[in-house]
Amino acid sequence: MQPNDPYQVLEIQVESGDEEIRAAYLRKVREFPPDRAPREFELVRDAYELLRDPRRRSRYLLLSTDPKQPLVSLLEGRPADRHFIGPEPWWRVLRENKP
Amino acid sequence: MAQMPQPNPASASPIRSNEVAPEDRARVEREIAMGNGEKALEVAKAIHKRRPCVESESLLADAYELRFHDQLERGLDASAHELIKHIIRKFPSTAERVGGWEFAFEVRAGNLEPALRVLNDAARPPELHALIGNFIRRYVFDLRGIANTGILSPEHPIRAAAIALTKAFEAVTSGPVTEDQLALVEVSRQSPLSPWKMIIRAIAAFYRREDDLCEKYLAAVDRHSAALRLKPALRMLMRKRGPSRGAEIALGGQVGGDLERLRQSLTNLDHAIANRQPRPILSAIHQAVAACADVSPTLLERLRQHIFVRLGGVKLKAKDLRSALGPCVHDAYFWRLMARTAESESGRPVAIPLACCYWDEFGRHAVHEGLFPAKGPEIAALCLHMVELWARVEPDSVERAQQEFFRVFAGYEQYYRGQSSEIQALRPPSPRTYFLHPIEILERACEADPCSENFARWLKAAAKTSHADEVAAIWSEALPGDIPPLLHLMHSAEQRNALQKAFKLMERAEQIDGLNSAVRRARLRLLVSMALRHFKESKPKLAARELTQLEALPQAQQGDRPAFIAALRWIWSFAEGTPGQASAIRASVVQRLGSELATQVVFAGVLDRIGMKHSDVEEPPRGAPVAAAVGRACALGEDMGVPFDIPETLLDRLEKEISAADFSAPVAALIALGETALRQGLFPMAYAIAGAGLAQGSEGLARFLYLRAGGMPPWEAERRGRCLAAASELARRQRDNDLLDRIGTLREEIFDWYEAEGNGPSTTVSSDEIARLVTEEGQHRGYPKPRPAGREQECNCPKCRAERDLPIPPELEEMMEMIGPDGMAEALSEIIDSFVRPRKRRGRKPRFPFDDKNSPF
Repeated sequence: MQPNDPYQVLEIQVESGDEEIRAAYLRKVREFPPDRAPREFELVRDAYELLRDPRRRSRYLLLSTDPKQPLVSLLEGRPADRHFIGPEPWWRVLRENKP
Repeated sequence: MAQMPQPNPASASPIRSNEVAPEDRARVEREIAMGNGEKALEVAKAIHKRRPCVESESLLADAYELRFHDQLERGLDASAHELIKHIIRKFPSTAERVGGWEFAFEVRAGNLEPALRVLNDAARPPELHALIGNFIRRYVFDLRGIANTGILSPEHPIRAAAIALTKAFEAVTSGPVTEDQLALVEVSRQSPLSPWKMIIRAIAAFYRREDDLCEKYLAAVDRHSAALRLKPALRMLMRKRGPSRGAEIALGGQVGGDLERLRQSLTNLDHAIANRQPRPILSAIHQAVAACADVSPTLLERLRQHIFVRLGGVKLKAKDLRSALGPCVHDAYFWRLMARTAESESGRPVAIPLACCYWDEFGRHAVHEGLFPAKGPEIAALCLHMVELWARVEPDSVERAQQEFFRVFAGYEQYYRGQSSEIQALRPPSPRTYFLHPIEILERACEADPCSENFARWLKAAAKTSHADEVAAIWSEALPGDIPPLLHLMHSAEQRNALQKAFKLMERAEQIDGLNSAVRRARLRLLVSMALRHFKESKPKLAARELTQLEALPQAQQGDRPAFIAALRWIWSFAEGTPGQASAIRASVVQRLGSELATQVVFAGVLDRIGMKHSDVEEPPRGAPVAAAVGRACALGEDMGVPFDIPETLLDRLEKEISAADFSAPVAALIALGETALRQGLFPMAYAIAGAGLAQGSEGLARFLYLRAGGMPPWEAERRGRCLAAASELARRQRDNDLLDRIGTLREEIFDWYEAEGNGPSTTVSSDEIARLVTEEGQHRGYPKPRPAGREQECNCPKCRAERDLPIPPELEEMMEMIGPDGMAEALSEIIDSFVRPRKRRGRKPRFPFDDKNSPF
């Protein structure tokens, strides 16, 4: 979980509306209940608190990007792309893994 | 064809009958189901030993099958062959079945032909068909072998399933698939290939970034199926484990991309931009864009936008940049980057209007892209952000910034040229300028999100203009249940002497919420104001009507208020020619306030207000407390909306009293005294009162810090900033909105605009820092002396710097390019002057007292 970006914490898109934000929050709370994952739960709760209020959410949206940050920071917390590469590499894994 | 071993008649076990108890069978089956092969074998052997029979041998074969597969999976083929022989030799009744295990070696080796021929032979026993089906489930790793075989007809259930699964596998690893493609109705749940359905769905979920669902599909895959061999690879791709083998590493590299290469390219580009050399920059852009296109195509658009914005200050030919960068989409994200970049360059006069222009574009594109609706709190938040940006501009420079914008901004054409038709359609048809005027921006904020907070900000901004009443009327119409606009209109009507209208507005406010403390106070103040006006106009009979109403008001009986009402009655008594009654009233006021001096200050203040002459307030006897009495009177005047001044005759006494080491006074009185001093421009006195209050204890710290900041001379800007930040933090904690408003106003007045909330650096101050500051300020009792002029006050214009053999600083060089040497010299001169000379405090009567003559100390 990337603690700095509430959208990444809740794993939702920037366009997500109130209902999607709430659903994501409930999903994450189930994944990280406060008794078993207190640190993660705190991140999830903070992210939800920020995004549930449209005014705070908008303010975050406006100010969250720093255009002067190093370009390499664009990769931080960004999930790797998932390229479609055809079946061959997958078959190779199966062949290599067979007994 | 696999060779079946023959049973050994000599070692054949004595078969008696089929007599295995159902519970014994169940025990073995349970152990097998749990994968406990050795335990199952142990139990089966015990059963067989107790009562050997065909069924017990069959149970033993079941248990041995687990061991057989285990050996096969570990590559112990010789042992597995020996095991088959051993079982057939010892348990001949299992010969046919165990002999069929030989097919497993062929299937596992990819030689499917013998097994498929058996499947194609309907005459072969169904048990053998089932056995071969089990081997296919366990050992067929390449579905294409079954899909392409000529042995089974295309309609054969296993081949039909293999064909469908192969097609789906290729589809799911080659691009997005539909639910229909994943339905795979050709593959029944009983099919030995059914686990592949789950794996294909898991791969589809992985590509859709539904990792939880992917895990669920993986959990549903039969643990004895060949398809499960992809589970570690999928979990590796989801970053839930590391790669372990070559093919997995290769798969990870191809699916996930070579992020390290992209990272290195971006680092190189960052370095190149920092060095500002055009050729290396263009080369690095080429490489970064190519790497991003390969490794992370979804990032490419954003990367181009970031690169474009970062290159703002670098001189590159547009053609070269276009060639290296490729098309840069000017969508909402782009405009946000542009706006954030512009607002970070607030040293340029045009930066803020340009930033607001870009934010306006962002808003329109964001609405178009569905980031938020055209009306709502999001647009309002955008508008409020623009207003905060304008608050960074020194009020005197607003007009210059607006003019500079028109000079610099070349229109929208350059930003929309070459964009898609969808983006071009968003180009404003005519120049937009509302964002150059904070009040118009606030109006838009209220249109987008008509809430009390937004209207309050609009009204506060408009209060300095002639449109305040108009704004209050709009607010009242939009939110008829809100009290503040009615109270504003009421005060405005009262100022214009439209008393009937003022009363009607107050009655409307009372109908909405008669118990609201602001409304109750407003009625009290309105009646007081009307009574004072009638006294001033020598209309005591009219004043008597208001006095009667005042005396009947419950809110007029609270605190020291009866003393004020009594003071009004005292004036009326004189006017009506009943001095005896007046003396009694005066005595009652002295009794109520507990001080002759406080009574004198109240009476003097009221008489001043109605324009009547009176004798000076007399200095009390030595030793009598002055600060507490005057402060109490000032607090009463402030409460009734009739602020009193500190009598000049008491200033020396107050100075001595407050400077005494053992000085103490009630906090409320001290705060009121300090605020009065601040209002009167008695800054050193306000400073001293604040120091005394801070030294006195923990009560009212926020107010005393505010007073200390207000009384601070301009050359102590840093200390003033710290005091204001701490006062602001305490006020926030105590939810003291009135004080927060005052702090905001003070910041505006002293041009501390950059540090205003939300604009400049964070104003959050820790409790420890506040405690330290309170202690320090409580110890600083003497008024700060002006600092001697030093080098920092020397003119820093290029000409003067050149005379001192100093080069032009780079930031000034940039500024000079924009406004020329003369303009720069003028601007610098203004800046230096603002430090050397006192700053004008707008909206206040006195200027800061620099000469001892004006100072009470």
